[in-house]
Amino acid sequence: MIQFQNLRREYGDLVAVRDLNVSIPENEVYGLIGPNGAGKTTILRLACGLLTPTQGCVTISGVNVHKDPELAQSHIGYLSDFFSVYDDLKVWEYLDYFGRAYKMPTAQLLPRIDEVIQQVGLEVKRDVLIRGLSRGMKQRLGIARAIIHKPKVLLLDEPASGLDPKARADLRNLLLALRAEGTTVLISSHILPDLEGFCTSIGLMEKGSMVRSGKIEEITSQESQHFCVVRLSWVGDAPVGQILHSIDKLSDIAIRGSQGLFRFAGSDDELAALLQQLIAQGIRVLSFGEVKQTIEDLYLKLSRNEVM
Amino acid sequence: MATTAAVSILLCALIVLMFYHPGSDPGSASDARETRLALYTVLVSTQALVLCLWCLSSCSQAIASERNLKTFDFLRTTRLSSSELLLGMMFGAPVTAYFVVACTMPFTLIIGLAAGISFLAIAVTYAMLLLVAVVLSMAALTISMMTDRPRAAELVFLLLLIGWPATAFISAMNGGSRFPGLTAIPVVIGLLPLYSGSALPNEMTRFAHVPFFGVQVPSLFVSIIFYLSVGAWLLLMLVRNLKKDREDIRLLSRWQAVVFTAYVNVFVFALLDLRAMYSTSSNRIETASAADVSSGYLALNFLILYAVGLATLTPPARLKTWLRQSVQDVRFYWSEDGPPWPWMAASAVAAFLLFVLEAAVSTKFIPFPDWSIPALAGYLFVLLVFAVRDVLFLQWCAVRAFQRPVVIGTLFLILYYITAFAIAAFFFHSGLAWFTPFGVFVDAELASPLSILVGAALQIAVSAYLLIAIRQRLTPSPAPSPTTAAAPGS
Repeated sequence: MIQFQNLRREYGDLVAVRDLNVSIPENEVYGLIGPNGAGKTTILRLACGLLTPTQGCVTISGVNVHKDPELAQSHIGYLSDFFSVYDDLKVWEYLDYFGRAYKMPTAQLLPRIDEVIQQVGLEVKRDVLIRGLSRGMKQRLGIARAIIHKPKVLLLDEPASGLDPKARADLRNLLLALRAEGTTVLISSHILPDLEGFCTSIGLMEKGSMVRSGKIEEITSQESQHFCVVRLSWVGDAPVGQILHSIDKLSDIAIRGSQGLFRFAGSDDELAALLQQLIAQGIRVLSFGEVKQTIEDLYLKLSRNEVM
Repeated sequence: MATTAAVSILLCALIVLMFYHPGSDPGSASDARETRLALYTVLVSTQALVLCLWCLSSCSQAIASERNLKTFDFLRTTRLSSSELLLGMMFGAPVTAYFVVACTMPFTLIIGLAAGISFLAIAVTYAMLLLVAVVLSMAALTISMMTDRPRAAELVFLLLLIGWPATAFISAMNGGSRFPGLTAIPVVIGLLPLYSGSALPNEMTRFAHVPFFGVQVPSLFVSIIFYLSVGAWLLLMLVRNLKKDREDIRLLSRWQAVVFTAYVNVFVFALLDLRAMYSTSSNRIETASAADVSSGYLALNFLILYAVGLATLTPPARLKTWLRQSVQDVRFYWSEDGPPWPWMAASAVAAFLLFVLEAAVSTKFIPFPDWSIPALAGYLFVLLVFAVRDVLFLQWCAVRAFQRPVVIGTLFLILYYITAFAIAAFFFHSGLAWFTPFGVFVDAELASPLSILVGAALQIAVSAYLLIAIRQRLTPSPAPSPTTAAAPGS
């Protein structure tokens, strides 16, 4: 659905995006994560045809964005990170304006405006001037504008910024609903918990390069081959810290009360053997299990935390 | 809109009342007609002024304000094509002005017809007003597309718009201009003959018809050709760039820049009047001299070469990509992303060939051998060399990632030329030809052909040095080899 082929964008001496080769299949919610200045916004702007690549190309639904921008843009809904709206229009007028800019037939447009307003939860504000909306509401209106023409691909740059927790949850539900309708979403965010729960794939950007890209489970399992985080709780007064420190494959051991957290480098069999070893050494294990990796954990693992 | 309509109609009514107040004496039929004519003139002039200034002001803000609001990106990602966006902005931004003109037009039409003016004259007047307004709107949109602070550029444009035709007009009135056709730019003179009742003032009658390619044509015809052709160039620039990010904007492609050179040369030649004419300044009949025309042509093309060079400056990132490709064939140098000098050279060749053609068709006024074509070719080459050097310097400034490289580079060049002139004036006269292109325009006493040649050779050397410097700057420094990277003793 979205293909970046050998994509590169330079600004003078700065390489904002370095030879990116990523393919995002249909119906995927792809989270683009990385520190500020990693090149996430540039990728999104290249994907919707706002920027011309220094080399390479982007195709959306098989259409080269830079060779046939108008056709490609009919498949794309885009929301930038910072934007304004026309304050002197009413909510429905704003959506009507952009629906017509997307050349939607009037018969389809009018019911679609109400549908979208309902989707983003602005029903009571339908006939209100935009200048009277809060920042979070304007953000929702921006999302409504991006989806007014039922795009196949949605490009969202930090869409959750400025939204309150409820609105964030609503946004998550909206994106899940869009995904269920078959929309492919490319979303960038540095608020990683926002991506949790609805991203199916992630791409980690650093210094304009894609450090890692793929399905979250695949990346998690790949990382688990190297090490995993294990939580242990016990009862009794066995010298757990001492025992854990004496085992070779453990690192980053943190003990608090009768709970411990540590990294384990080894296979699943070795992990099972570790549990047996702990029990054999007299620890009365209450619980022992791998801590599920969040996107944030993955990011912290994979990232070198470098900012351009 | 209702308020605007009401205010417009009220203003019209007030203007009419100024002429026909209850105490006014209708006088003779001829006086009444004169009054209506004056009223018509006031109304049309006001409409023209309001529409042109409004178009200029609102269109120059149209793109810049959308960009500042960060709403322009959304418009650029819709299905609207550049042409549709352009159409919307061109007529949408000054829509109030068009509405005001539409509201007041019936008054003007009735008063004009009552004054005995033909419907055709009124229709042509409004058609020309629309044409000028559209071209002004496109010029303002181009300014708005290029800069986030369009007010300063708008002011310069307005001064040019008023100053240039005014200068041309005053110069032509004094009989000292070889370009009487420039008086067609303000349009007014071309329209006056349509108003059969209104005689042209004596000093203006000779501009009712102006030479165009040596043939006397109505001034209105030249106005139409001028505005249509300028409008076509502006349209091309806007449609090419309107949906592009500002960093990616290049007004014309490189081939288009060469064609633009040809257009300016042909249009200027079309307006050139080579006939013998009476000069009020010298009080005698003066014939056109080949030397004067050649100098003018060289000066014009020097400016065009600079413009082409500036328009074809390559963004460093694209130049770097271009450099990464290995040299396959000659197309490598003619790439859209390569350095500007091959295109400046192509423009110079196009200008030269056109000049030869123009000289060949002007033998009725100046014999062909008088033109000294080889010398002119040599001088044009020298000007090209200097223009290439300066443009390569600006390109080097861009590659060095100076902030606003063209502005900084131009300031450095101004400083350089001031120094060069000072050296030439006080210490070393040949410096004028060695360090500046102005040796081409002065007498042989001040700049001998040999010193001009030395100057050209010097500038070629400087240009080669600049090309090497640009290439070095763009070529990534090689990664240290394993041998050199290894620690001593390892």
